[in-house]
Amino acid sequence: MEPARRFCSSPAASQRQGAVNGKGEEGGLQFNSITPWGAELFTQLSGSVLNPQLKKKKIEHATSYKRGKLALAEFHKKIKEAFEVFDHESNNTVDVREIGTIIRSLGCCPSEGELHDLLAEVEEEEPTGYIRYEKFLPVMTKVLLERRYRPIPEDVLLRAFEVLDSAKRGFLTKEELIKYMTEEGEPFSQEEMEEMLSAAIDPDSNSINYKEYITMMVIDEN
Amino acid sequence: MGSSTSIHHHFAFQNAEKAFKAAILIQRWYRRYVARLEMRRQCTWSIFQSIEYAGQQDQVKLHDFFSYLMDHFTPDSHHEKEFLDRMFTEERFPQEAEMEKYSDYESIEVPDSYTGPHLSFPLLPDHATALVEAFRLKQQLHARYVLNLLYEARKHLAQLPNINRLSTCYSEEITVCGDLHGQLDDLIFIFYKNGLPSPERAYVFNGDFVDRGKDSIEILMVLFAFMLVYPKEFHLNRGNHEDHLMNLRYGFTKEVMQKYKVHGKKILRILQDVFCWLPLATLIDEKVLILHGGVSDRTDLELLAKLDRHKIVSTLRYKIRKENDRQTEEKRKAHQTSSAQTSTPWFLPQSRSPPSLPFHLGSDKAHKASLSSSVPCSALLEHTELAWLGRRSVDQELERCQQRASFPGIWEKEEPLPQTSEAHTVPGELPEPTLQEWRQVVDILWSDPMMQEGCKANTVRGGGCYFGPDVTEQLLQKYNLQFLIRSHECKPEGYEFCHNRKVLTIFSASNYYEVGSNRGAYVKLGPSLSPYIVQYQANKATHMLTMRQRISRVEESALRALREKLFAHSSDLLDEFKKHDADKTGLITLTDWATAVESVLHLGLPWRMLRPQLVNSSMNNTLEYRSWLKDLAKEQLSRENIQSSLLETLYRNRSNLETIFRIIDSDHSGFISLDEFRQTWKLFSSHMNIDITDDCICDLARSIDFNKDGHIDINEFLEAFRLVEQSSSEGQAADCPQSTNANDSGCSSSAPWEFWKKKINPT
Repeated sequence: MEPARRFCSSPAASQRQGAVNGKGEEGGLQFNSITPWGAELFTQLSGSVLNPQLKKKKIEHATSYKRGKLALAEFHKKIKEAFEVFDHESNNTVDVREIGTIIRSLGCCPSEGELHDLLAEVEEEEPTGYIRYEKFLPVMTKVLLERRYRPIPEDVLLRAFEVLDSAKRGFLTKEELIKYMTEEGEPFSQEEMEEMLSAAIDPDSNSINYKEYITMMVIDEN
Repeated sequence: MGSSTSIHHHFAFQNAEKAFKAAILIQRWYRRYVARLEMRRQCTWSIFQSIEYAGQQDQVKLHDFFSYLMDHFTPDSHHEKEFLDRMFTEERFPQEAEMEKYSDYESIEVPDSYTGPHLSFPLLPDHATALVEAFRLKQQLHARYVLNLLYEARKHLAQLPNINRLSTCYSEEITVCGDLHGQLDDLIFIFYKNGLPSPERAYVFNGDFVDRGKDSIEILMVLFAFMLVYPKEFHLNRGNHEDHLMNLRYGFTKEVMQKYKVHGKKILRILQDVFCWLPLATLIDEKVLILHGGVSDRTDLELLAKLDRHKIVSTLRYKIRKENDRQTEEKRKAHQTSSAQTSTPWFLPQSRSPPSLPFHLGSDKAHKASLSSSVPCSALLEHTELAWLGRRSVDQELERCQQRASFPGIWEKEEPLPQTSEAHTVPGELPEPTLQEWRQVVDILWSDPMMQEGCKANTVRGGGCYFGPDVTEQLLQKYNLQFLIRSHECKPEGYEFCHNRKVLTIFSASNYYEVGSNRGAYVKLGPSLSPYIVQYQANKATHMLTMRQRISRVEESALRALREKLFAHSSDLLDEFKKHDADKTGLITLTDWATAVESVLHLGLPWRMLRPQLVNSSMNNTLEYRSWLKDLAKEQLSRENIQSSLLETLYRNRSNLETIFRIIDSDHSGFISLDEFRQTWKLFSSHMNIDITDDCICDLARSIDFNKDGHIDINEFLEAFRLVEQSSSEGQAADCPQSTNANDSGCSSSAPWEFWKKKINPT
């Protein structure tokens, strides 16, 4: 998998990448964090492509091929629809600033650095400030097929908070959270920080009980 | 998100690196979370906007329908002519002498028990301020003062030019506000935050003061009062809702009639005239052009400056009066000689069948046949499909018909303008606007900017244009302007720059779709003319909510509105689902679901995105559609205790029917009198070549007047419609709903309703 080298900025991602590369079939079946349509597609693809011994009968193969094609079509529709939500002029372009939202809303979880690399792939040679659908579709299809930038599971997220909570108190103070989020990693803008604080910080203790916070956010998302 | 994959993840970093990587992980996760919220917010926005614009299209079509009838109607008595005048335009332009009649407000007594504000003229700043305070305390201004203020406002407006010119030399800064739509809280908030109007604080209000919100009349009173107190510093532009035809649908007419039961009619009448006197645009320092909608590639400021704006009574309808008198003869000739080439307009049956009538009132047999064919069987479906598959085809059809029938409409553009009407000016009367003049005004009141180059008809709204950056650039160059300020579109942030910051949209009604849906904004311009934008939310409660809570709340209400829409089309949806279910399994795939839903509703929404919120079970990617429809019905039924099939009909047609009711009720009495009913029927029958006697019409009216009080109220009107709809959908062609008079007089009461239903509410 050629694009894998882009992943080096995130250890968790490169680990998952390893899992995908090493145990492709297994990965295809166990991914419960992947969206249903993605899982279905992947199962079909791994069935017909990665597992040639499954092709017992011609008919079966033909059916699964057909189903794979159907799934791919549905896949494209999904991408198109997400794109169209931001294509305010219905002319198959979106503002370059919306691309991150579109990619992330399709279930991907890239870092800013990775997003930047993706952008470079879909942008025109001379950037216009807009991204064309024809450019976006193949790149995004590939990203989804290769299952890059998988969502971060709840327990991994919890571990990340625990790393920051070196005293193991079960919470971070507001100041600590602000420090980590705006000084480490790919720092939050002021707007992002304020928005996160508004939901995360318990006004009485002025701190974040990250375990509760995660539970709340994960439930909210589903 | 699951948790089983954690085995593959472990954190074995160096300490310093650890925090960095943990942070990046949290940030990645959080940014995705926010992105998904943003997607939900966008979808919500699409729902509100699609539903709003679909309503506008209906409104335009409805008026085209009536316009068409009226243009082809030959009144045969003075009485009928009068009725027609009233029906759409109320009055000819009131001449000065007539305006004197409006000044009889002095004879209206203000009772001692009245506790609201008092006005005396000339108005002083204190009066205007007191008015704001009184309205804030939910007091009502007495009709006498309303009329008095309108009278004075009209006098003042009539002396203003079409394009107001302001300078930043006189006031240090000028504040420009966009649509208010009857939301008094926003107006008060602006005054509170930005300061009351004064010689130092100039204001421009850029149209759409009324409709939708509940305090439209109060907003007008405040705006007119300040305009009279500070004539040099306080300015108003006309919007597309300052139009009595728009007000019929979007609530202002209703509001006035409810608040002023006795003098409401009079208020509405004078308002119609006041609206036509509102200036069309404002120019600041000759550099910044402010108008409500936008421009088009044919916008000509010189023409706009010199046309008689008072002639433009409504932007929904071109040329309404007098034509009947003058062109009757020509038309009759034209009909006789060239009936072959005059095509049927879009709302009439596109007769592929022989040119026989869709129904015939005189013959019971023919009637039966027609009714049975209008039962939702394949024949109707075919008709529906042919004519209504997709809005685009509708508009194309419409355009084609208009061109052939030279029926002026707002979709047409570019083709040579028939300069007919002004030649017919009758001495002593004000001339009609030319089609060219009318279009100039339609374009500036209705248009929206688009990102692409060029200029095309605004099919989404049903009026005006979409104009591209090149159109803006040309206009700015031609008139040596810096930029354009317009309103007309709700924006999430209350404002939006486009066309390389040459066009600024400013919208001042916060929480327009729902509490938390959008911010309001106004813009201040100083001598440097660089725009300084202020955003706000008039509703305090929204300040306390997090972004997630805000979005969820608004989303919920958007989805509710959407489910209501879906429910209103249950039967059509069922038919459509069945088409995708050839094997009759009761199941369809979710892809088919999305396709079917869009093909019925034409809202252009991201149905796949919305699916998780609209469809609960996604077992194996299939949907048991019958139970899904049942659930939809359950939700609506729990709120209103009526049988679901009836409710569906009402939901689908209510706003169109209410508008029709108000059109027929031309004197705004809240009732349709027998006379009004008869006149409307004359209109229909003359054009449709239906032989219907006065006796028949009387019977018809009596049958609808369920409580036999001599006139038809809105509930009876809706009820009659519903009964017909019900009977036809049950396929009981012979059973007329009002059995009392069904056959004995040789005419059926249901046919006309059937006709209305199909023609007026095609989708």
